Formats: sequence, C-alpha cells, structure tokens
Amino acid sequence: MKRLSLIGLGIVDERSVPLMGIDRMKEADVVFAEFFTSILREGSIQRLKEIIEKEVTVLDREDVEEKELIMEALGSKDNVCFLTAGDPLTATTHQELRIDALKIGCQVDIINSGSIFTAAGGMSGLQHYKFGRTTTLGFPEENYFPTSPHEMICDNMERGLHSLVLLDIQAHNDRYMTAPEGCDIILRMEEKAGIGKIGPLTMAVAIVRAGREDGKVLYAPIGEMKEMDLGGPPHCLIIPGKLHFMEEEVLELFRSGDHFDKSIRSL
Amino acid sequence: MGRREDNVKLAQDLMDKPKFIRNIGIAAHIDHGKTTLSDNLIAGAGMMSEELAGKQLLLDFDEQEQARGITINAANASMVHKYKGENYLINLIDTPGHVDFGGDVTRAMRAVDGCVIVACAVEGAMPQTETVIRQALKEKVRPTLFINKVDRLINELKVTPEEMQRRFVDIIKNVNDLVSKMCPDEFKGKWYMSPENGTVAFGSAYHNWAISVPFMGANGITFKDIYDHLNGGTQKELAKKAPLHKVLLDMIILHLPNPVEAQKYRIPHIWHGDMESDIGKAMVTCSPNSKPVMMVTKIIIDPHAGEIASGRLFAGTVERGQEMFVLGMPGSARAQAVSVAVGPDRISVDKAIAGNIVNVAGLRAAIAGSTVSGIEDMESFEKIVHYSEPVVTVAVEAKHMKDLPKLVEVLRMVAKADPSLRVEINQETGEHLLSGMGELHLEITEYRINNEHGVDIKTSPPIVVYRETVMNASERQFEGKSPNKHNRFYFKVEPLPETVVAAIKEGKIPSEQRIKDDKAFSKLLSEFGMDKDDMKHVFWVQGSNIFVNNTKGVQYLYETKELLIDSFKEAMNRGPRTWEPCEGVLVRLLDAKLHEDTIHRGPGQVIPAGRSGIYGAMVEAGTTLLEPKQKLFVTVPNDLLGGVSRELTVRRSTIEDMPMEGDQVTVIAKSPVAELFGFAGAIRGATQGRALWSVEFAGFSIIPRELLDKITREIRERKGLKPDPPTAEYYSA
Ligand SMILES: Nc1nc2c(ncn2[C@@H]2O[C@H](COP(=O)(O)OP(=O)(O)OP(=O)(O)O)[C@@H](O)[C@H]2O)c(=O)[nH]1
Ligand SMILES: [Mg+2]
Repeated sequence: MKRLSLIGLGIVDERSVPLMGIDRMKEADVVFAEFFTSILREGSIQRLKEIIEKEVTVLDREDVEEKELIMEALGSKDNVCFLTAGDPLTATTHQELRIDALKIGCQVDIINSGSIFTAAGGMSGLQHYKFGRTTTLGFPEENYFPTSPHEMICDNMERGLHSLVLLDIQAHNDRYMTAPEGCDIILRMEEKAGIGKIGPLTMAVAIVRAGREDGKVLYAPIGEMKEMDLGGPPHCLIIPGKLHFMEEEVLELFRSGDHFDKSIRSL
Repeated sequence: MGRREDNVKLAQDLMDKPKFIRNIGIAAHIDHGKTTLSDNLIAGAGMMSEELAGKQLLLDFDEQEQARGITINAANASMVHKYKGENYLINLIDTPGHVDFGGDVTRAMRAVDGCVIVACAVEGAMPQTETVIRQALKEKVRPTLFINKVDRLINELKVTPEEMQRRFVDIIKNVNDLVSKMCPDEFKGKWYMSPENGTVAFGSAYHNWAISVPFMGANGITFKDIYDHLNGGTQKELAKKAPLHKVLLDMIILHLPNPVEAQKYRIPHIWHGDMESDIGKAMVTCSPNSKPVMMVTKIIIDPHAGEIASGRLFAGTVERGQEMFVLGMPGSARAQAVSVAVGPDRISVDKAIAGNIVNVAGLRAAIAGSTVSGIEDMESFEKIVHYSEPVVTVAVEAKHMKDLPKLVEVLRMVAKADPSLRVEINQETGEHLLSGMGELHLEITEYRINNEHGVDIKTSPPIVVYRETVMNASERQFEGKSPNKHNRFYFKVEPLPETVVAAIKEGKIPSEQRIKDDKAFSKLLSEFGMDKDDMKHVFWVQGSNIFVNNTKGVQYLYETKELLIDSFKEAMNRGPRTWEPCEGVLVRLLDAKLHEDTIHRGPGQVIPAGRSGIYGAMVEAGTTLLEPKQKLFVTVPNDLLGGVSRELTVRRSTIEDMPMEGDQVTVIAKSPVAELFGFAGAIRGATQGRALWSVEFAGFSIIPRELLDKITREIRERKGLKPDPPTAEYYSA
C-alpha cells in the first residue's frame, strides 16, 4: 500500500526532528518539504539532507496549494514524505492534502513533533487549560487590515482566558513579524476597533526563538514592549487572561530588567 | 485696442468683485463659428494684445488646430466690458465642436455658470447642438442662444426677409424644445430663450455684427435694416451700428448669472458634503474668506511652467506658495504659481479669489476632475462624467528602442493633458495601447507625440474597443475557491436593467467611489427600477457594473470586503471572454465560508477566489461581446441618396430615419465603429464630395451572434491569449 508520511520537524532545526521521522525519510522514495509558514535555524535542511542521505524538494506555496506535484508522486512512488516545520496539521493548513491522499486509497501517517502551540504556553508558565482561541497577526496589506484578531483577544480576556498570538511569517519575502511589531499592530487595531479593553499598559508575554539555545521569555506592558529589540525571529506573543497565583509567580520572573537574562532557557 | 498693461490692470481689479464676473462657455455643433465668435469678442472688447491682433482663429493656439481649422482643446480667455457704466470681467471658454473632443466640453461646463449656444443659421440645430445643451444643463449652466452666419442666408441661400424670420423661429423653437426636454425642474420655463426677453441674438461672427431685440429697440434698428445691409453688401457699416461684442457681451452680463448667484444652486448640485459646514457655506456664498477649494477641469502642459491645473475656484483665496491637497492623493503640494486669463494670455497673479477661473502650477498629483483644497479631508466634488468613452485603440511603439523611456513619460503626459485618452500596457507584449474617442483623436495625438514631443513612434492600424457582458441570469451559484482551499465564495450574475446602466453612465448613479450610505444608495437604485431590499448592501460600482452583497450573517466578511471589491474591479476591468472591460453586469455575493484565522484569508487568497468565482458565474450564465456604435447623420442632395445607402448597408448599418428638406435628404443611421474605418474617403467617393456628415457616440450594443466567435478569437490572439476562452470548470478548479 502506498504511504504518505506527514512529518513534523519541530521548532528548532534538524535536531528537533523525531527519530521516527528520520527513519521514514530514510525509507522514502521522495521527500517534499514546505517552509513558507515556518522558520527553522539556518542550514537545517542541508544538514537534514546529510543525515537522511537524500534530496529534499522544497515546494513553494503555489505548489503545495495545487497539490499536483505531491499527488503525482503518490501516483508513481510507494513512499512519499512531506515535511513541515512544527507539528504537522497544527498551525499549517494541509488537511486538504491528507484528504486527497486518503481518497485515492493511500495510507497517511502523521509523525508528530514539537509545536509553538504547546511550546509557547509551557515556556511562559501559563497553564494550558486556560488558553482561549489562538489568532495570528498578519502584516497589514493594501486593503487588508483585519481587526478580528484584536476582537478575539478581547473575547478571551473577557472570559479570563489567555490568548496565544502567532505572528506573520513570510519566509518567501524573508519577512518575520517580531513581538514588538505585533504589539504595535495590536495597539493600532485597538485604535481602529476602539473596544477599549487593550491599551499600552496591558501586559504581554513575548516568547522569542522558542526551543532554541538563545530562546527568551519576556513579560512587559505592550506599550513598552513595542519599543524593544528582542533579537531575531521567530517570535510569538501571549496576552494573559486572569492569572492563577502560580502563573503570576512564574511571570514575575520574566519581567524586564534584571530578570530578563535569567529567563534564558536552553534545551 | 488697449495696451496690455492696462488690460491686465482692468481685469485684476475686477477679479476681486465676483458680482461683476461672468464665467461662460461657448458651445455648439462643429464649425458653427464658436472660435470666430470668441476671437471677435476679445478683439472687440479691446483685449487682444497687439502681437496677436489680426491673426485668424487665435484661440486655436495649437499647430494642429490651425492646420485643420478645428478646435481641439477648450481655451480660456477673458475680457472686460462696460455695461451701464460698470465694468464687468467675462471669463470665456471656447470649446471644441468635434465629437472626438467632446470630453473637453463636458469638463468646461463644470467651470462656468452660463453659456452661449451658437447655432448656424443655415444648418440650424444639429446633433451636437443637442449634446452641448445636455452637457450645459447637466451642470445647471444657463444657456443663451446666438444664431450665427446670418450673412450666409442672404449671400448664399438668397432667402427672402420672411423666410429669414421663419428660419429664426424654427431654430429658436428647436433649441428651446431641446432645453425644455432636459432642463432641471427648478428652471423649467425660466430658462426659456426668446428674442423678446433678450436671450437670443442673431448675427455674423465673421463679419463682426450682431443684433438682439433689446438692442434694436434701443438703437432704432429694424429687421428690414439688417436685411438691406446684407443685401446691399454693407455689413461693415452694420458692424459699426451693431457691434458683435457689444450685443453679445451685454446679453451675457444681463442674462447669465454671476458666480455668487450661480453657486447658490450649483454647489448643492455638484457637491454632496455637509452644506452647513464652514466650507459648505463658503462655497454656496462664493466667499473669499475660507481655505481655497478648486475643481480642476483641465491640465495644461506648458513648455515652461510644466503641468498647470486649470479650473474653477469655488471658495476661498488661492495664493502663491499656499499648501494645497489634491483630495484622494497622499501628501500636499504648494501652489508654485497662480495665473488667470487676460485676453487670450495667461498672466501671473499673487492671488485669486472665489468665483474665478484660475490656473495653478505645482500640483503634480492633480488631474482633470480633481478637487484641490486647502483642507485635507473634505468631501470631493461629484465626478465629471462624459457621455462617451474611448472606442478606438492603436498599439504604439517607439521606432528606436532608446526612446522607450521617453515614450513612457510622453504617454503619461498626453494622457494627463487629455483625459479622453486612455493609455494601457499590454502585459503580454509590453506594447502601449492608446485608446481614444475616434480616428481623428488618435491621429492628432500621434502627430503630437511625433512632432511636439519628438518621439518617433510606429502605430498599428486602429482597432475597436469592445465590452463584455452576460446574456442571462445564473441558474445556480458558482463557487470560487481560494488557492489554499480554505475560503469559498458563492456568486451569481445577471444582466443589469438597461435603465440602470444608462443612469450609471450619465452619472445619476455614482460609480467607482465609496458608498457611504447603503440605505440612500438602495433607494437611489430603486428609482431606476431595482428592488430596494435586494440591493440593500451594494459593495461597489465599477464601470457600469454593480457588486451587491446578498449574504446573511457571515462572520468576518467585513474584513474581506475590500479584497472582494478588488476582485470585482479586476473582473470587471477585464472580462473572462476577451479581457475587455465589462458592462451592465450585476454580481451577487450569496455566501462565503471563511477560514477562522485572518492569516489564511489575506489578499493572496481572497482576491483570486473572488475573481474566479465571478468569472465562473459569468461563463456559466453565458458571456457575449458588445461593440461601440455611432449614429451617423449624412446630408446629401436627393439624387445621391443611392450611393449613401450603399455605403451604409455594406457597413452593417441600420437606417433609422431619412428626413427631407428641399432637395436635400439627411440619412440618420446607426453603424458599428468597426465598420466605419475609412468611411470619410468612401463617402466622399460615393457622393463626389457633396455629402455633409457628422457622427455621434451611440453606446455599445451586442454583436451579431455569427460574429461572436470570430471576433473573440481575434481579440484574444491580439492580446497573446489562447484562442478559446476558458470554460467554467477552469474557474472551479
Ligand atoms: N459666412 C460666415 N462664416 C463664418 C461665420 N462664423 C464663422 N464662419 C466660418 O466658419 C468656419 C468655422 O468657424 P470656427 O469659428 O472655426 O468654428 P468653430 O465652431 O469654432 O469650429 P470647431 O471649433 O472646430 O467646432 C470658418 O471657416 C469661419 O470663417 C459667419 O458668421 N459667417
Ligand atoms: Mg473652434
């Protein structure tokens, strides 16, 4: 039976790929990958190729959306791998591919891995059970500055829930939204939507370079965070809801100033 | 003849007294004598600077105008005239008569408050006479009538005094009928023109005399005297007794409104902002004490000063160095120079006040139709809509590759100076496509690019511009999917009622601007027969196509509204059959399914989804092409009728009427523009040059079924597309 393996690469580099995934790739006839919505450390793919001793075909958005190349490969090959950063089918949108493969009678295996969805919460010290709906901030574009992310954050806040706020990654343009940029956008949305729930004093947690050696967590008011330099991507934000005393205690460790350096976590 | 400095001083003194200003247009059918009249008014008023005096048709400044003896560009001039002991400043715009340049008439009417309709005594009210009256009344510009070329009645037609009078009565009746047909309700009856009430004058612009009933009464001149002068070949004497400029300028001053009077009713007509606001009040009262607000009606390209924005200052004072905003464009600019017309010249001034026609240099972002204001965020003036559209296109290439950058700049400039031109780039071949109102329009533009701008160009033979439309209403919804497959939009299309299309084209239904009040807009549409509830949420009007939102309770739809409007615009500017613009299509958005996260429904996803949904719905409903038509008026002696009919029938024309007058017959026909290339030569041949003819834009109509496939393929090949248009499946993938 033909097999399509959707393999998550984790959130760091070739070292965050599960061994199970490495084995699959080694067995594979052809390996595809997409990176347009994620960022692994530089050179990860090259080093991964050396580990699995085989080519990896990186697809751009159109190729993945068209699915043609992958479906064709499934037609002629037995063992196809499709790699995405993070955990497959979590933040990414490849369910369509899975459905199509199942429809033509393929076996579809999912090899799970680390994801920002769980890493961010864990690193921040906020409890998973208390997160509301996740949202993403996009770079504003001509005629497109949606404010529903802001609305969603406010909704979560109202119910005392934390909001995980993912930040736009446009790998093809080498453009990655930083947490300070995200704070700025949230404040602009507030200005446009005028709900009055979020202001410069609203506290936020920035999780930068999650999972990496130089990853950091910072707890600061949005208005201040907006002006900071938190280093290279990837970044994401959490806007906390009502805090449990345990959560409060952890977050205090990540306040700016002296404690900032102590918050460096290594793998 | 006054000295130039004196004239400047006279005019400048009056510029600050709006009650002593008249802004008027001279408009008529082609060749009825507008420029001759305008010239002689200026000369008669003593406003001709010495170096220009004696030159023929001096307001036809341009080389091509002189060579061809026709007006191409509307030209501004001013003169000072004394009436009952008071000096008045008359700003005049001489407009072109040829249909190809009719856009300049439409725009000039925005700048003026009154006009003189010129009608040739021999030809009478002609098709373009009707058109210019419509253009004037649409802007609430008050008309007066001058029956010109009266000398020809006697010298050429040798009519009797009775016949002369009968002709006058006929012309006056015809013109009044046209006016009353199109007159704004508030002026019905009031704007009736008759010799008795002094709003009609007769004369000969060429021989410099004119007469009106009040003038006859005051000076003891009778119709018989005039007849005798003409018959006796003593028009020179008549010109002394009844000077053209005196009679006409008296009529203008007495019967046409000053800016203060006119702006009271013209501002609410052309500006839909808050009348109670400071700027609203300033415009209605023509106040000089506010920030300046100007409506640009023309961009003049001056060899020294560059681009000059010319138009009507409706409020405030504009000074050199002043900060101005071109509404709708980012940033601001400074008025580098301010000038006004004195006689036929442009004279620099330090400032000008409301009620004048002014020229401002330094506003690069301004185009004809722009509202320029000292206030950044005020409501713009209503768009100026011209009744006809570019129908002929040529591909333009630089003869020498090295000239390409210059050509691009020159094309930008000519298109800016002449809003009736359209310049596009063919994405596939990189050629520039230049579209204009007719063959003459393009020929003159080509000449100017070659000779005045010094870029050698090659052009393709002219081709016609087509439109696309749908023939039926969709039977089912068509689903447009985003590339990531996470967003789906459901569309239906149907043909818009003709009344609605016409209303959009006439500007009665505003297009291509934000719809601020859904309710008011649906009410407006209901006046043209559409269902108010059904059209409650119109997103946009592009060209003569409407996009309505019929969805109910789709969460976050408002976030993708602008993107869906973008897809609608793209689809309407470039239809699915041949990539020609669409006309008369109603697009309905019936439902939408959106991804939860905004990042998965950005422009890259929504625009293609909307576009292919609209395209697919159109293809399923069935598309067809519309071709531009022209109405032809060909007047020939009876015995040559056969040749004319033959020429018309081979050109797919329908003959609509054949009124006879004496031994002359006028054939009124409707013909496809595509078949009219070379008509001028053919009709000359067929009638030994004895046909008098004119054309008028007659809109777009559906091409015969048997030509559809052939023309579709021709257009697609020209654009570098596959010969067959895509099927609906293509758009649902
Ligand atoms: N006999 C006679 N000829 C006139 C009179 N007025 C103008 N003409 C002639 O008519 C022709 C057209 O005159 P123009 O003043 O150019 O007409 P126009 O209306 O400005 O023409 P366009 O701007 O091209 O529409 C010229 O040859 C004039 O000399 C007149 O009163 N009597
Ligand atoms: Mg003229």
